[in-house]
Amino acid sequence: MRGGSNLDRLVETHLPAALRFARRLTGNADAAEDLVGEALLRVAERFATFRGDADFRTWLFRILINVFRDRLRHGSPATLSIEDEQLDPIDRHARTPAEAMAVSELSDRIAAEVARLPPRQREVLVLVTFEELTVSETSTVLGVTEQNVHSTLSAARARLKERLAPYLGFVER
Amino acid sequence: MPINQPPDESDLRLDRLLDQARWPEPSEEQLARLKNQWQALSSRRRRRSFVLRAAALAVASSLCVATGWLAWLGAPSADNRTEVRPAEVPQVAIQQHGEAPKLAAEGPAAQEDIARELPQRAIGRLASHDPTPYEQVLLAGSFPARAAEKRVKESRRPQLAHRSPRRPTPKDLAARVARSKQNGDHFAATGGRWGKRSVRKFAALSSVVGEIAEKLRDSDRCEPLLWEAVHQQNGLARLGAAELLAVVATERSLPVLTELASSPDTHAVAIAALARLAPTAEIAQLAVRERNPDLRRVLCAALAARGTEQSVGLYLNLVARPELRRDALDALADVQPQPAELLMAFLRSSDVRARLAAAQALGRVDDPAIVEALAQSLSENRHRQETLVALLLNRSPRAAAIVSAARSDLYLAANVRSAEIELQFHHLTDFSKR
Repeated sequence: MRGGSNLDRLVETHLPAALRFARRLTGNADAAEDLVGEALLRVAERFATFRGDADFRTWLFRILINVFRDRLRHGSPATLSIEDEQLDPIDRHARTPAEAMAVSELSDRIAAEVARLPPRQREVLVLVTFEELTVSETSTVLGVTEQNVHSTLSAARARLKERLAPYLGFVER
Repeated sequence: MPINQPPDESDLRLDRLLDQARWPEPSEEQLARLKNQWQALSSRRRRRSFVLRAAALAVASSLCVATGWLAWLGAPSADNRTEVRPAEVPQVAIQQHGEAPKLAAEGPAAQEDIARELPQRAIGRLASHDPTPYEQVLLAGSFPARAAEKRVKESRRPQLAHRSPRRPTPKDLAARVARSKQNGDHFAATGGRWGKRSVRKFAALSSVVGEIAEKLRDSDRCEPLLWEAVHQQNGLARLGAAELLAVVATERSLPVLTELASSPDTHAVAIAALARLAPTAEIAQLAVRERNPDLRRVLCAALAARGTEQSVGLYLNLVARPELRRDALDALADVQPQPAELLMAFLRSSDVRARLAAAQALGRVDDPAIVEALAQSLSENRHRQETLVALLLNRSPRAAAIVSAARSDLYLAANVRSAEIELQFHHLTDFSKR
């Protein structure tokens, strides 16, 4: 039971960070919550495989990344082609014109551009730039080499520079 | 900035730009929901760990008992071992049976002749008692040793079955279903209410298999083995593998489950698992395509039970469809806890379709707090008919009292009538009794 209470404490401590990370990965609050919910399920199932010497946050992020990738795989058209008709959830936050204008703010635009990056580039950029993990930690979370992290990060930044080019000249110093 | 390259001006600008990126902080609601989910998972994990230890102990004890039992059944006594030795059999037989001396005197050739004449019913008779030494001689001479032994064992099988623990009666199965309900097995729990005998039987089977599957769940190889089984086996074996897979499946089994859903014999099993595992959008699409109303209800309930804004939004999308409305609304009775707060949030949406669907769902929520929230909403916004729609559909006496009071209100009376027309227009209910 002691192990269980330790796990409870660890999860509750890192839950907000996990939710923030998931939000940056998915770009959507509901999808982020689903992602973290699924990750918690895996944490409960696989805590026995967690080595105490590793950082719990890194381990949790690794699980989140795996869930994220699984969802991308399962969300592919091959799986979703059960029904051709597109079914959208009813959106209770339907935007008014004024709200739509607010979306165009620079900060939201940057977040939107990050969300448009290919999944692997997004993972690396979010982990290194926003979660402030070291390259070594990032490579552990993603299960790739450090060199791979470097090259993917460069590609992500190059793509962002290209897409955010109109804004690069107007950055406040 | 890139870690392995010296920064240039554009990198520095990009870094400053990225510093301004803003994502909304996680809401307290989201964190609270996830904490609750974790607490439920954590307690379930502890319970499962305890059950697995107890199960391991029980299996070990059962193995010991079974080994002892088999030894008692199968091991011949020292005297019997002496009797079945070919060289000694004739002598023993002669001593105990008067008609056998001829056999002993004429040797193996005579044994073969008699064995050829051995009628099958004689073998059948062996089932009722242990073979006498004379019968053993006949058997030993007429069949190869192993085949003879097999025949005797086969003939004894009914007796052995009679000795085994009794088969579970329907009452036992019902008790198992009840236990599954307590353990939160949604499929078994809903099976009891589906009304079709076959589905109830299926739910009972599900609970029995579920007990076995729980023990297999921790094995990483379990799912791949079951994938192989559902692809290679036929008939009952395939159905059994599909049933087990439905219980132990994780997200990696989704493609196989989707494939099983397209096969008529495994459709119900697969849908129950997909309702548990599939992404919300896929569940909604499955619900739209599903022809079986019972399974449609399970899918709708799964959507509502997820309790996220997206899943409830999709659930309300189904409520808004006339062909699915009834099943979707009925499904709400299977969901605990019901997503009442989100439904109230959708009732305040700017989209009239969302408000009307939420009102219909809220009409099915049996919670006094929700009726009070609806009353509060009515006092805050007297223009929205959907609140009145929810109250009109709600069966509680308190809701009826609020509607009654609204009828006597000079302004609200018109809105009540308007809400009634709305309901009649959409064929939502017969509320004329009120």
